[in-house]
Amino acid sequence: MVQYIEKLSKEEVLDRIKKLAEEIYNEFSSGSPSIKLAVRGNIKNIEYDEKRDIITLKERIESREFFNLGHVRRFMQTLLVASLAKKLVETDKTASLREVYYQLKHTIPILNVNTIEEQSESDAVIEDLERAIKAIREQFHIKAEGRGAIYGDIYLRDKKRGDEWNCSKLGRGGWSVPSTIEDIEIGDVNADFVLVVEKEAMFDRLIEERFPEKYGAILITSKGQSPRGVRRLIHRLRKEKNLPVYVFTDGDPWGFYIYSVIKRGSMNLSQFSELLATPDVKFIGMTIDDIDEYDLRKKGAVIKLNQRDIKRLNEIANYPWFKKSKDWQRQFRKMLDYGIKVEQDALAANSLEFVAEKYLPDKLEHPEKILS
Amino acid sequence: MKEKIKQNVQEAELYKKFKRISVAEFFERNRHLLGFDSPRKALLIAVKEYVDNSLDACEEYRILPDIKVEIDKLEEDTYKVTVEDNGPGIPYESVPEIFGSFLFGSKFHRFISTRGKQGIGASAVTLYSQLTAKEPVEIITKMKNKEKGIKYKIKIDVKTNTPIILEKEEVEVKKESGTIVKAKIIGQYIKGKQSVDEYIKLTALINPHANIIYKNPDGEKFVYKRIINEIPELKEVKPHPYGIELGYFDRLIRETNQKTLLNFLTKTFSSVGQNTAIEILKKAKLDPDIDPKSLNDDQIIKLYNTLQNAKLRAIPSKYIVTLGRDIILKSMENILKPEYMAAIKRRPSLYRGIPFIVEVGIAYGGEINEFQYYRFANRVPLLYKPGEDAITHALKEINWKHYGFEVEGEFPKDPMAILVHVASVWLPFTSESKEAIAPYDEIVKEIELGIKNALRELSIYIKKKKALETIGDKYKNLYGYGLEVIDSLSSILDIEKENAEKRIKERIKKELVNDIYEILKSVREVKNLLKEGKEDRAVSLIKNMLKDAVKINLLSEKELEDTIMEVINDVKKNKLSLLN
Repeated sequence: MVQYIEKLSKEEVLDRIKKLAEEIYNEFSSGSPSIKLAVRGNIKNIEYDEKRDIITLKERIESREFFNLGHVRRFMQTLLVASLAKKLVETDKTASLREVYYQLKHTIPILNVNTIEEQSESDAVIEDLERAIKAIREQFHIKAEGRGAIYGDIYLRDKKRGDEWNCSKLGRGGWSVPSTIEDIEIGDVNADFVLVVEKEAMFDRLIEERFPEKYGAILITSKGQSPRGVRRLIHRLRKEKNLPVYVFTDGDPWGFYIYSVIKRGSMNLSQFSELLATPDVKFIGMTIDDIDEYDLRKKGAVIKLNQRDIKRLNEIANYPWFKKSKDWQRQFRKMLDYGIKVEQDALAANSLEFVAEKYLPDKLEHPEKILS
Repeated sequence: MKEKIKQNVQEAELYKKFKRISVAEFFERNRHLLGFDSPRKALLIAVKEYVDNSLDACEEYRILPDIKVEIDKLEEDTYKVTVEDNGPGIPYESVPEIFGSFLFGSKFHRFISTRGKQGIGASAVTLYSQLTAKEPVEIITKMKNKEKGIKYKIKIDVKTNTPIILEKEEVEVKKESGTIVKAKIIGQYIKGKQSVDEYIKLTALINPHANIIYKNPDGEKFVYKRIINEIPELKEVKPHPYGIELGYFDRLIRETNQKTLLNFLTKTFSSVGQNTAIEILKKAKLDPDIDPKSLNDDQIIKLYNTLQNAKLRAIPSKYIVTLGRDIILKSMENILKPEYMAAIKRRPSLYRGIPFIVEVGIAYGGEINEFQYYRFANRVPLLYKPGEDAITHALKEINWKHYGFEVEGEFPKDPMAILVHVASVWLPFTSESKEAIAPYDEIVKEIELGIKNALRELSIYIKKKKALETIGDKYKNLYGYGLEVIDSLSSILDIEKENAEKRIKERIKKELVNDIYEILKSVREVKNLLKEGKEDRAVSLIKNMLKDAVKINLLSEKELEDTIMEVINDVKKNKLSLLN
């Protein structure tokens, strides 16, 4: 079976699509036509690879059969996407998920139904194709809406267009990270580390305080849970430029999981962990210790845990990669004990500059306060 | 356990009451205890008492039963019930006792899985007849070794609980042996679930070794033919203490030949050995060597309760009479005429140390047109109090959707009949009239498992059948989506669309052939037509199921016809075992 690989050439992608079609075509003359694909990741079929410190998928294959009436529609849709992917790669164009939906939607004459009714249907079959030919959708030129931004003294280059730019010279917003960065080359970097922040407001605050310039940081915001493009960028910065990466999120179960996804990969994309995860990132905050250290409770800057928080906290505390860490378990216990959580923005209770001038420098100087 | 104690207390009270007044008088005041609570029910109970007695007598004397039942309407609310059998006949001098007095305790089972409430049943009808229609019952009986038969007209003297013989004469009877009983009662004839019609049908269903001919007051005649010649084997076993009621226990003590209490216990009951008996007597503070007949009422109650609470071995399950899977299937086929059936006999199980066996049959489609279930306890159909019954409780536990049924309210909409038979040497009922099996957890659970076993088998068929019903749709879908697949494949592989289309069409047609084999195998209508040699009609039936395939131009009508014929010929030529 073919594998996911970091750099997939245009020819290789086309070859994989053709092989898939060829096999099916042969099965139509003898046998039962089916599309074989790796089972999607969920908590039951993923594995935590302790050695590499990432989540991987237990390789199990499922198939979509043409002669199964419950499968035939999805079977047809997957081939529909495959044929569009082939055209996109051949003509060197990239389509968004929404565009793919409109490209593929049409009425089937005999049945009088549409090939695709909702975008969620085409999104799902795009994932099927990823798992069938073991390529991420960016590799066959389908991208999601971009989210996330990068700021700092780093040169990036678009291979196809020939443009090159420095991400600290694009204004206060930095450069918007697209969903696919496969055509981007990373050039010279003048920085000591990468800081990924959860919230856009914190990203803006740090730029306003000139934190990247003062401390030699590349700043990335994931705007909540990191999109694939951002995770791929973090992965490549670490791998190609050997920069240490720190993650800075809210001190709540959702923030911890954002960190976890950047570090170990997500469950439903566990088959791509090798391309998307960055195992040696570190967690700078917010921790529950911060609440004591910076007197945040007294200042009324904390929020009570609700039932959903507690449920989620118990879930992630039981994920094997968190379970094996004493430091993290101590944080979780303390959080339950106090019954509170804390947002990044709460640091402003001290002063607006506090995060840039005191909090982050303090952490960087004391590695023992950083979790991994 | 609490229930049991409560029941024991009630029984003790009932028992003391019986001692004070005549049994007949007691029942006169409490006729609901005999099941005669309404005119509709009265008619059914009268028929049931006589038919149960006939079946039991035939079974005991190893005779294949021929039973005739007739109900005639005499006046607006007065009916005459006639039940005739080919049984062994009744010893002539015993007839008055059997039809004209109540033997207390005898209604409580002997320890054997027979149907009836022996003793009380026939007299109950006599009592009810004289209370409502003011008439005696008429009995004609003939035994094999007698030249002539005898005819009686009998009533009951309620004060003394003794028979009044109004008429007694020898008569000519053509049969070798048998009994005819006639009773006039005030009643009401109804149709439907709790009718005599239904009772007779279900009795025939659970007694496939009997011939039953029945004529209802509307003059409709129903003939249920015998389909097996094996008479169920009854093995009598000494009673188990857990299974007897206080009244019967009292009678056993009064009638015993044993001279000591210890011997009474060990010789009368199963599962009570020497040591156990001594221990029980110690607990009841009774001397093992005293004469059992010397016990007073309180001592009898005390001993009875101690026995109920002692730890005893179970009775072996070989004494339980069941029909078995094959006979259930045969009988359902004969009477319900379904399209498909499944049946299961569970292994013996225990409740409170007493063994019981559950059997389930499920019949689907054919002449059945709605969902219904039939309850049987020791081969007697139960028509009343379904809500209290263990079988209903179990049915409500089933997740019907899981087996592919559409549900409306609590039960499926599908046309099917579920037969549940619970058999034991001692079955617990919710009341003395024995109309519903008590929903003990162990029993409900076991019934539920039995139903699930049978459903599993059935649902494979149902799912297949539902798939075949929509088989036209299948080809529409395959071909419709197939055309899209052709487009995608030919564009990815840069091949001629015509070639791709030809290949995929051929492959879908191959699938069609497989499905025609499947239809021959699974669709009963088609199977029957072929068995009867009506090939043309079978072909047009299959063609009709597949007409969508022609409509969408997957193949021509002629092509479809030829394909069907090819499959039929192949099946015939190779004698494939599809048509069994």
